[in-house]
Amino acid sequence: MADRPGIETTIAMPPLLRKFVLTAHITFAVSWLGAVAGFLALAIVGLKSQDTQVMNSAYLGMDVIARFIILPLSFAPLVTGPILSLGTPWGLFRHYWILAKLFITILSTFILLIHMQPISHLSHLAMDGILAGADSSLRIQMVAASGAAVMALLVATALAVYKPRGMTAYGWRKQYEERIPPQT
Amino acid sequence: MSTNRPDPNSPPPMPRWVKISVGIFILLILLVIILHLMGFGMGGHGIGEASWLIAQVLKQL
Repeated sequence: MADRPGIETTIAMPPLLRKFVLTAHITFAVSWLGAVAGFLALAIVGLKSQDTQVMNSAYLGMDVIARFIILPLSFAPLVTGPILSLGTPWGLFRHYWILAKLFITILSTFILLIHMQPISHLSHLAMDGILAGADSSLRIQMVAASGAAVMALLVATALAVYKPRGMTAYGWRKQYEERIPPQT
Repeated sequence: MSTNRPDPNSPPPMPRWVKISVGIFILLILLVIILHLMGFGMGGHGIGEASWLIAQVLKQL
């Protein structure tokens, strides 16, 4: 399996290791979704609350969740996902659903990185106690962005469960090559 | 029995769900570009400006 040229090389992973990586991957991916849902709840509380203390607490909490939970959890599936797919016959580039999941993960991480600065900015305003007078557009943006992130991560989870049919041209070629042994 | 059998020597066509997903993604990208050209630039808070405008539109609805 590993001696043919191509973009990817699948290596048969021992069952115990495969289950360990699979457990880690599911844990990271679902925790990421849960953390973003928690972030969305705080963003809504921060936007709708009339109490300044509640509002400030929400944005301080959002900064902590984003920095110490969401950010590490967004990178973890980028490591476990490719290890898992390359360690099984599924491969990384052979099926459209795996490619779609990889794309969603990379895009979500990229958009999160873009939003880290505004999150930090809101947290500093909350710390200084001047959040109430600040422009509400940034706070609305937090609700919209985290809502979109929850939707994207739900789609990624659904893709992993349903595994919709569809093999890429590369996957089809690799499957064809594996069925017919190379002529020597 | 289907008479439209796929050619075993050519790769399978792209599934419909992939085509629809790519279409939706292109539409979203175009929406972001149009919003950017309309003056809701990406300066300041990055791509988030577009999501802010979408939120404003949703709020109006």
